Amino acid sequence: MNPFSPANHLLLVILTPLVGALAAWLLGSRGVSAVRQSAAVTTLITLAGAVLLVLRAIPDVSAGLPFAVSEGQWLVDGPFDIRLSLGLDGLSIWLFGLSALLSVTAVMVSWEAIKEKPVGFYGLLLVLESAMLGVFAARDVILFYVFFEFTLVPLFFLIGIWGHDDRRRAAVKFFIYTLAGSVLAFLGLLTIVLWNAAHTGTLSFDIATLTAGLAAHPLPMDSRGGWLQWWVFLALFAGFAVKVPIVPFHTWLPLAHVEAPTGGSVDLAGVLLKIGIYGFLRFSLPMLPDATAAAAPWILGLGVIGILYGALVALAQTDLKRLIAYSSVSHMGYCVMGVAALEPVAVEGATLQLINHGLSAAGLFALVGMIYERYHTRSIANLGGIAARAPWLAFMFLLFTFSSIGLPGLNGFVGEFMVLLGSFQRAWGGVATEWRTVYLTMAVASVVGVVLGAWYMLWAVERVFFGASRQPPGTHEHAAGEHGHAAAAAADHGAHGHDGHGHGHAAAEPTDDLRWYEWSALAPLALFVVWIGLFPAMFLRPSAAAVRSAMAPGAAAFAERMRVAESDAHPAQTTLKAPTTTLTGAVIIPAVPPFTAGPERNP
Amino acid sequence: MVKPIEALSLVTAFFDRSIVDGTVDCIGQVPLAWGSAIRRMQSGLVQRYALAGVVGVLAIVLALAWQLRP
Repeated sequence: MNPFSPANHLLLVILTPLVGALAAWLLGSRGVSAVRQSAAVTTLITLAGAVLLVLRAIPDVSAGLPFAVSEGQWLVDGPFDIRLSLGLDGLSIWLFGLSALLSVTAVMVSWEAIKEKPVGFYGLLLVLESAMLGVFAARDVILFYVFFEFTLVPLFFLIGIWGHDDRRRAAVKFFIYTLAGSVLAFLGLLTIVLWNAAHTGTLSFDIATLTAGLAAHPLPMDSRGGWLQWWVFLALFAGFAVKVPIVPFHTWLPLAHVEAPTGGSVDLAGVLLKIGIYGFLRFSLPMLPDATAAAAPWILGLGVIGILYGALVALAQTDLKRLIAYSSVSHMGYCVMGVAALEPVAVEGATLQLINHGLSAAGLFALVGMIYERYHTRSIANLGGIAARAPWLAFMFLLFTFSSIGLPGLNGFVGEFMVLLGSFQRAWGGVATEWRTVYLTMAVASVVGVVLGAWYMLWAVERVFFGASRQPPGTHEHAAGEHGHAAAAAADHGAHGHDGHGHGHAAAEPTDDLRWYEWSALAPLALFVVWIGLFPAMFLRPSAAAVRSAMAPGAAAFAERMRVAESDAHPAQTTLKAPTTTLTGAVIIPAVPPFTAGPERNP
Repeated sequence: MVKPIEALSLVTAFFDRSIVDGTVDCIGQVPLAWGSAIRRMQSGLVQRYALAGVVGVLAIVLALAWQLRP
C-alpha cells in the first residue's frame, strides 16, 4: 500500500498534531522552550503536509471531484455503518489549509505569552488543530459531528485555564451555548439519516450518499408530512447559527474572545466560526433545498442585521479586543448574506470571505494580543501613539484593518464585492416583484455596513496607533514608571531574565516593535492577504464547482418559489412566459453572472 | 451625521448587553433555579424521606383504587 497515496497523506496531516501533542507532553519536564519549540515544529510540519495536500488536490477538486477519499472501518459492524471516511472537496479545501496555517500563528503568538502550564496549553492547541482539520475532512455525518464537538473541548480548557479575569464564565457560556445549538443540529442530522434509511433501505451515514438520497426523496415540506423539512432545517440552523454566530445568537462570542488567550482567539475567530457557514453549505443547502429557499429571505435579513448591528456595537466599544470581536460578528454577516442570496457569485464570494475573514480576524486578534503583552491593557482610551514606538506592528495592524474593511487590492475587497454583487443581482433579477423592494433595501443596507466598518476600524487605528502616547511603558523598556502596570511589567521582565529568555536585554535601544516569533505569526497571513487580493481567481477556481453543486438545489427551489409567487401575483401575464423574462431586472443583469471564476471562464 | 450614529451605536451596545445577552443569561438561570428548588428536597432528614415515601405510596394506592373502582 502506497504510504503517500492521497488518502494516507490526508490521514497523516490530521494525525500529525496529535503526535505533536504527545511529544509536547513527553518534553514537559524540559521546560517551556522545549515544549513550545516542539509545538512550533509540529504545526510547521502539519502546514507543510497540508500545503502539499492542497496542491495535490487542486486538479481533482477544481473539476468538482472529491480528493483523498478514504473509507476506514469504524462502527461498521452491527446495525451501524459509520465509517472513518475522510476526503477534501472544493468546499473544504481552503478551510482545511486555513486551519493548518492559523495553527502556526496560534503557536507563535503564544511564544512569550504562555509561561504557565505550557504542556497543557500547547497540547490542547495541537488537539484543537487535529479537530479543526478533521471537521473539514469528514465525509461521514457522525465523524463530522464528533470533530465538530471535539473542537469545543480544547477551546473550553484554553479559555477556562489560560484566559483573562472572567475566563470561567466565558468558557462555560461558550461551551453550553454552542453545545445547546449543536445537540439540536445532531437531532436534525439523525433525522436526515433515518429518513434516507427509510426511503432507500440502507442505513448510511455518508454525506454524499445522504445528499443523493435526499435529492431523490426530499423531506416533506407540507402539512401532510408534518413540515418535517422545516423542523430539520431549524434544528441544523440552531447549531450552525450559534457557531457562525448569526445575530441574535452571538453574545457568547465577544465574551469568549475577550477572555480567551490570544492563541485561542486566533483559532476561534479564524476557523471555528467558519464551521457554521460550512455546515450550511454542506448540509442545509444541498439536503434541505425547499426549507432553505423558504428561509433564505429571513436569513439574508439576519445577515444584514448582523452586519449593521455588529458594526454599531463595535463602534461603541472601548476595549480593542471586544471591538475586533464585534467586527467579526459584522463580517460574518456578509458570509451569511452571501450564502442566503443563493446566487452563484455571492455564494462563491461568501466561501472566499470565510478565508478572508479567517486571515484578517486572526491577524487582528494576534496583534491585539501583542499590544496587550507590551502594555498590559486593551482599553483604547489607555493606548495611543504606538506607531511611533512600533512602526511595523502598526503597519501590520493597518494591513489587516484594510483587509477587513475591504480595501481594493487586498483579499477582503474581493469577497465583499462578490457578496454585494450577488445580492444586488438577486434583488434586481432573481426575486418576485413583491420581494424586490425588500431585497434591494437589504442589499443597500449592507453597503452602509461597509462604511460603518471602515469607520470603527480606522477610528480605532487612529486612537491606538497615532496621537499622544498614553499607555504605560512597554514590558521591554526599563520600567521606572509610576504606573502599577509598569511595576508588574518590570517584575515580569526580571522573571524572564532568570529563565534565560530575557531577549530585551541584549538590545541597546529596546523598542516595542515586532519580534521574530511575532513576525512568523503575522507574515504568512499578510502574504495571503495580498495574494488573494491580487489573484483571487486562483483561490476561487478550485471551490467553484463544489460551491455551485452545493447551492444548486437551494437556488432551484428558491427560483421555483419566486416563480410561484410571481404567477400568484400576476396570473394573467405570466402563464406563458419563462420565469426569467417576467422579471424585468433580468434585462439589467444577465442570468449568467458577469463576474465569476467558475470553470466556464477558464481558457 | 456623526453624532446621531454615535448615539445609536451606544444605544445598540446597551441593548446588546442588557436585552440580548440578558435574555441568554435569563434562560441560563432556569436550570439553576430548578436545581435550587429541587435541592431543598435533599435535606438529609431521614424522617422527611420516610414521610415522602409514605405520601408516595399512598398516592399510588389511591391512584390504583381509583383505577380499579367498581
